[in-house]
Formats: sequence, C-alpha cells, structure tokens
Amino acid sequence: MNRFLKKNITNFLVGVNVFVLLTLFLTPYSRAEVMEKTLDNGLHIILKKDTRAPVVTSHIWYKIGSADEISGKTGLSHALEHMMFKGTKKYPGGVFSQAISKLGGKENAFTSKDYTAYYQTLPSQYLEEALKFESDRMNNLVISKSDFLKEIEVIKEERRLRTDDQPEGIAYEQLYASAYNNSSYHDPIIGWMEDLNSMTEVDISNWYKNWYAPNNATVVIVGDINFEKTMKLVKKYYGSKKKVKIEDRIIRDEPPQFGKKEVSIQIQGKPSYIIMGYKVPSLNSKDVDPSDCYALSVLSGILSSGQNSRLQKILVREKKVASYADSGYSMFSRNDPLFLIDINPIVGEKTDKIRRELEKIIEDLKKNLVKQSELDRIKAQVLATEVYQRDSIDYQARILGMLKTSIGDISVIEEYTKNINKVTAKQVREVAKKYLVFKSKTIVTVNDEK
Amino acid sequence: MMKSRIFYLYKITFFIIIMSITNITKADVNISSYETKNGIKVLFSKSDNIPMIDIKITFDAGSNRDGDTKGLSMLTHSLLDEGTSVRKSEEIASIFESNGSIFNTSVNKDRSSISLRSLTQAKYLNPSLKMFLEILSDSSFPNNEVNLQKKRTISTIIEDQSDPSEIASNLFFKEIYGDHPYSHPSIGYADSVKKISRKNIKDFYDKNINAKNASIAIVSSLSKKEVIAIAEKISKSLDKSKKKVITKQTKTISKKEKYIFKNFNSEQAHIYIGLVSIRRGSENHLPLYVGNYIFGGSGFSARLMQELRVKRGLTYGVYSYVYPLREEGPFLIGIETKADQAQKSVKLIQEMLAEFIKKGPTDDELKHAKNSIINGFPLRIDSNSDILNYLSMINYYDLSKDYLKTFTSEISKITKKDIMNAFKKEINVNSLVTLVVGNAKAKK
Repeated sequence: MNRFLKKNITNFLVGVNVFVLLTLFLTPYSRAEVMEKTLDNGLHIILKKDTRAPVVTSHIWYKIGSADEISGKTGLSHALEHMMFKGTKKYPGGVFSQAISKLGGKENAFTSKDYTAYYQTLPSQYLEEALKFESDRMNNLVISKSDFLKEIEVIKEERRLRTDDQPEGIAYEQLYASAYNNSSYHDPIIGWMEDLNSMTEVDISNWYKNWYAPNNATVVIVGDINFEKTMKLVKKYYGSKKKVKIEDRIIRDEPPQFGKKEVSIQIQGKPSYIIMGYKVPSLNSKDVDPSDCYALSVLSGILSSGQNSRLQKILVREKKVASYADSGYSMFSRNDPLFLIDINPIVGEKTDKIRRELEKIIEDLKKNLVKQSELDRIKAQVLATEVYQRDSIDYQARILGMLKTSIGDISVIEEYTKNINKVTAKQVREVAKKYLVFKSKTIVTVNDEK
Repeated sequence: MMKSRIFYLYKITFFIIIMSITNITKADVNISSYETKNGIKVLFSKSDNIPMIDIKITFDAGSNRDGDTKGLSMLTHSLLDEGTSVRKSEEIASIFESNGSIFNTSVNKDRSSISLRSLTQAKYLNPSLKMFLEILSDSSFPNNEVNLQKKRTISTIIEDQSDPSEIASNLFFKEIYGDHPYSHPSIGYADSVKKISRKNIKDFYDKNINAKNASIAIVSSLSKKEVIAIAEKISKSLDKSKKKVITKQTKTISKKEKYIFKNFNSEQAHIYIGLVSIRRGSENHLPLYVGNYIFGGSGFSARLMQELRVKRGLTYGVYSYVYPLREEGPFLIGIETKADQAQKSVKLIQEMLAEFIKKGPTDDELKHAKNSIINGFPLRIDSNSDILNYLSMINYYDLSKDYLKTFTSEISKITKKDIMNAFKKEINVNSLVTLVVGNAKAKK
C-alpha cells in the first residue's frame, strides 16, 4: 500500500514529489554525451544525447523565482509563468499550445523558489517547432489586462487547492514564514492571497521585462539529437535576442536565530501533522565546506531513504506512532535551505510523544556513529539511481537545468558520486552536531495533542 | 513508502493522463512472447542501452476480488515483503536496499502487480532476484506485521476522511457502482480493514498470487535466453497452488440520474459528474477515447479546459476520462472551484456535454486530435517503464497483436459519426450522477 500511489489514482498528480529527495542522486555523464556553449548574448545551452527513442525534450530555465521577490509583491514569478501561455503578437493565445498538441507533444512549466522553467517533450523531428515558439515568447509576450484578470482567478483557485484547503500545505507555508525573518525563502512560491488580490498586469509586465532575457536563461535539450544541427537551430532562434541589463538581485541575508521557533496550528476536523526544519547551508552558502553538504545529504538518506532508515524503522515500525515519516534536503538551493522532516502521526497518537521520539533519534545521531551498513545502503542506492534515472529524458534535463540555474555549473555531477561515497560516519555525526541544533530549528504542528 | 509532497514546485497545470488506450506497440519496440512450462504468458522487450531489468508480474487480483473484506487485496500486497518463513521484514528490505533494487506492488480495481527493478550486474541482480522469488513463493504474513500494517492503513483511511477530494472520489464511485465490486476504494474502509484476519490474507495470497492467475512482463538489456531463465524461475516460485480462481459474478449496475450534495467545510467545492460506461474490448472504445480527448482528455487543448479555465478563470484543473475495465468502467468529469462557483460550473459542464453528444466534435477538432494522438505515439513508449506497463496491460487484457500493430491506422479511421454514435450509446445524459462536495455556498 502506498499513499502516494493511491492519491494519484483517485486525484490527479500534484507537484513533483520525487525531485527534492532525488537531489541525493545525480547521474554522471561522459564528456561525449554532453555539449555546452554560451552564446554572445549570454544564453547558455546544454545538449545531451539519449537516442533510445525518437523523442526530445526541450527546456528553458530562467533564473528567477520567488526567492527574488519582495514583500507585497509575492507570487509574481509564478503568476508570470501562467501568463506566459497567453500568446504573443505573432502567435496569439493558444497557438503555441495547440501546435505542440497537434505534433503529439507534451508541455508544461514550473516555478520554484529558485527558478522558473518551461518545457516541451515531442517527437525529435519537431524540435524546431518548440524552439520557434519558446524563443518568441522570451521577449514578445503580450500581457493584457483582460487575460490577467481571468488568469489571476485561476491562480487563486490553485492556491485554494494546494494550500488553503490542505493542512499540510498551510503547515509548510507557515514553516518557511516562521523560520526565516529576512530571507526571501520566507514567502510562498504561489504568493500570499493578499498579494494575489492586489497584483496587476503591470507588475507582471515589469517582472517579465526585468528577468526574461537570454543572459538570464539556460536552454537544455535532451534526446535523440545531433549536436551540431541542434546547436545551429538554437542559434537560429535565440542568437539574435538582445542581452538585457539584469538588475542586481536584492540580497536578503538571514539574521541569526536566537532559539527554537514553534508554531501551533489549529484546524478543526483535520488530522494532526508535524513538519520541522533546520537552517542549513547549501553549496551556494558563504564560506561553506562542500563536504558538509554531502554529509547532510547522506544524513537525510540515513533518516528516511528505505524501510530500514531511522525514521521508518523507529517511528513507523518500532514505536508505531507514525504512519509516514520523511526528510529532505537540497544542497543546490540558491539560498540557505531548510533540512526538512515531516511526520504523519497514526491517528490518535499524541504529537508530544512523537516529538520526544524524534528528538531521541536526532540526539542519537549527534552522539553515536551511524553504522557502516547504513552508509553502504546509501551508496548502493546512489549507484543504482544513477542508472535508473537514465530511463527518463525529462528527468535528465531537469537535473542539468536546475544545476546550471541554481549553482551556475553542471560539473558538480562529475564528482558527485565520489563525494557522496567519501562521506564518513564521523562527518555525519559532525554535521548533525553542527546543524541540527536548537538555534536553527523551527517546528510547526497541526492540531497538536498533548 | 514515500508520501506525496505537494509543495516543491508549482506547475502551470496538471495534466490528467489516464492511459485508457493500452493497445499500443511500435515497429521498433521489439516484443517477444514466451510461455513458461507451467503456462504463464511472458512478454519481453529488449532495451540495450541501460544495464537494468524491470520485471512486472500482473495478477487478476485487484480490489474487485476483496469480497466482503474490502481492502484485502491491497493489505495483502502491502505485506508481501514484510516477512517470509526464513526472513524478517528488516532483512528483506536490507537485501533489496543494499543492492540498489526496488521492490514494489500496486493494486487497482481489476489487476494487481508485483515488480522488481534491479541493475543487471550479477552481484546485484542475483541476491535481489532470489529475494523476489522467495516473496512470491513464501510470504509468511507475521502477526505483528499484519497488525502494524492494518493500523497504518486505518490511520490513512481516517485521515482521508478529512480530505474533500478523497471524500468526493469515494462517494462518487460508491454511487455509480452500488454494490458492484468496483464500488469501494482499493484501500478499503476503516471497519472492513479492522475485520481482516491473518487467515483472510493468507488465503488471498494462496488463491490469487499463483501461476494460474499471473502473467509476466520484462524489459531489460539481458539476452532472451537470460530472460527466459528468469521467467522460468518466477514461474516455478508461483507454482504452489492447484486451486482454480473462481471468476466473480458480474452484478448489474443501475444507471439513474442523480444529484448529490455533501456538506464539507472547504473553500473549494470538489465536483464529479459521470456514469458507468464501457468495458475493455468494446467496439466503442476508440471512438470514445478520441471524443473524450477532444472534450476533456487532452489538457489545455480540450474543450473543458478552454471554456472553464482559459475563458472563464473558474478553475485550476478540469478534465474528463473514459477508463474501460474488464467490466464496465467509468466515464467521469472532475473539477474543483471556489464554492460559490460550483453550481455555475456544473451547469456549464452539463450543457457542454449535452452539446457534444448532440453535435459531436468539429472537423477541425477531430483532425487535430487524430494528429495529436498519432504524432505523439513515440512519447508513449520512450522509456523502459512505459514499455513495461504496456506489456503488462497487453498480457492482462489479452489484446490481439495484429490489432496493436494497426493502432495508429485505427485511430485515423475514426469519424465524427463514430464518435457521435459512441457517445450517444455509452454516455446517456439522462443517467448522469452529479456529486458536489463543498460548503453551503456550493449548494443549489
């Protein structure tokens, strides 16, 4: 029985759940498989060959996300993503989507705290069509008031669906809003409802002009392609785009935290839930020792990957207090991220008791060394996942786009497995001691019972 | 046991891709068939580029075989890797995990499956496969594991009762299927799961998880010879019961127009409109598939999405699907919208459906849909996991190979008249069940 599967059968797929946890496992590539180039206008291009099927996926990643927004204007990046489907002068509303559909393609887009990305996956002989439309909307988008007024209602419905009617969504939003005082990770990707109510098409238009430019974008194409021909095609459609002066990003450094933060949410008739986060570094953090990030990744694996992981074994199986427990950490965040742990209690179990058990698990990691068998498990999973990931061209493109956009460089992949394998039990204990501490902790409970 | 994370990325839309068309193959997906010594059908496709193997064993053991113990199939499957007569749960997990293999099970209304994904290198594959075979022949269902899994399942069921979309989905299927075995959610009900005993589980396993009831699909870089050897091993592990599976009785489903409102305190109303429609193998399957593609099954291009989301901003997601099963499967339309827009949306959808049934698609729409389906064909089979799922379905539903090869030409032959006839016959607007779950503002 699997909650994830079950939900997907009866509802529809919401979000991309595997992405964060799988940042643990990257697929290395040989130099021959990947080609990279930066055009004079600053557009970065990454091509990767995968000739298993006559199919290609074409992505464009913009380095703009909710992390770049300011108070009172939250949700702009995501709202712009929606408006990007409203058409240009040359290809008015719906023409792009209709064309991709007619060619048998799939398309979608997504926004995170760190980036906004658009993609089409289609038979490889039609790649040029995708590039033609995608490049056109980089700078020719028409943002009309009437389209905006309808679309903002769609976005509010999306917010109601994913956050306002979902206790876990509210808890997640509150976790970030409480953990961060100044960092822009404080604000939700979709924006506060209050900001959606006051947003205008002019805000969107300015946001678009500021950030959508070749020198703030990466094109990633993975599939059955010929490097030379594809590079030519990309140049044909993007080569003449003008570089735009990208505004300096507002740096909102997070001040020190003075103690544990706690939020207790009451929502009548809903099951209890616990989500917590510790502020930790990413590869982008100032003065970070990268090996800390790798050790934190392994630590997350020790906690939650597989049936024998600590959270599973202790909270679900031995103590029988949780029906699900998970952790997540992304070392590739643009800003300092949270090391997340979330738990669905067995209905009727006291949240207090679960928190005490969780505390014991964390304290044990700080005191005792993890077992060699636990490290071996993570290493085996990294190795296997490297291979399994090659089964999806879209996933390969996502990894490349995310790395380039978030940390500026994809070469991290080459040393990735080695770096994970280098992590020792001592290092895991060290990062637990250093980062999983009272002063960086925020915990949110829904309907806590004592 | 990964839980759905709803938060990380915000997508422009979620497309509902329910693959109701299973009859797909392609000239360059080579499919070999084989029958094991004890009669299990095997379909195999060789995929050279990745050193991995996917095995999926499909059983005629979905939740329609639960009987009075609703939730039995899913509970049994979830316990398969929780103990054998010689190994405990932890050891089993550790064997798979330390070799980088993934063991999985799934259950839907008709079918269930047990699958393994592994690297093909012998040092990983051999121990993983050995463990997999042991589960097939010798799951032991220890009492403590049964109790734990029941507890977790019941907890999840109770949690779901506070989720409006779960409530709506469960109520809707209950309403359209009455006392038919497709009526209940595969996970079961809290009180039915509570009553399931270890003996129920063991009986279900012995009767259903065996050679008489199985077919095998494999996609791998291994040679045909190696794959056949694996299939024979699986087959032997499953050869443990001489019992014949008793085919269940088909119950008649009454089709009556009905409107149901269920009060629930949420900002959005969750709405389902639909009825029980066709079974797999129906001559109307393809015309309905193409018609539904145009009406609500193709994301942004579909009429529903255009009218309700793009033109009116009423919702983030609206869709329809036809889902033929071994017996008659559902046709349904789903949408969620702010409570005070619920009735307006229902009315609009009902009018649109009536209009579609009356007038059919336009010539342009039909042409577009056929192009889209035919051109998009390679995307459906561009990964090992896609191919594996098709092999499994082809096996289970006994689809004719010749018919498969001609899939794209079958699609191209479908006319407006075919679609109109199929909709008229299979989707009677006077038998639609409309369900609204939402707060008082969503009520009529």
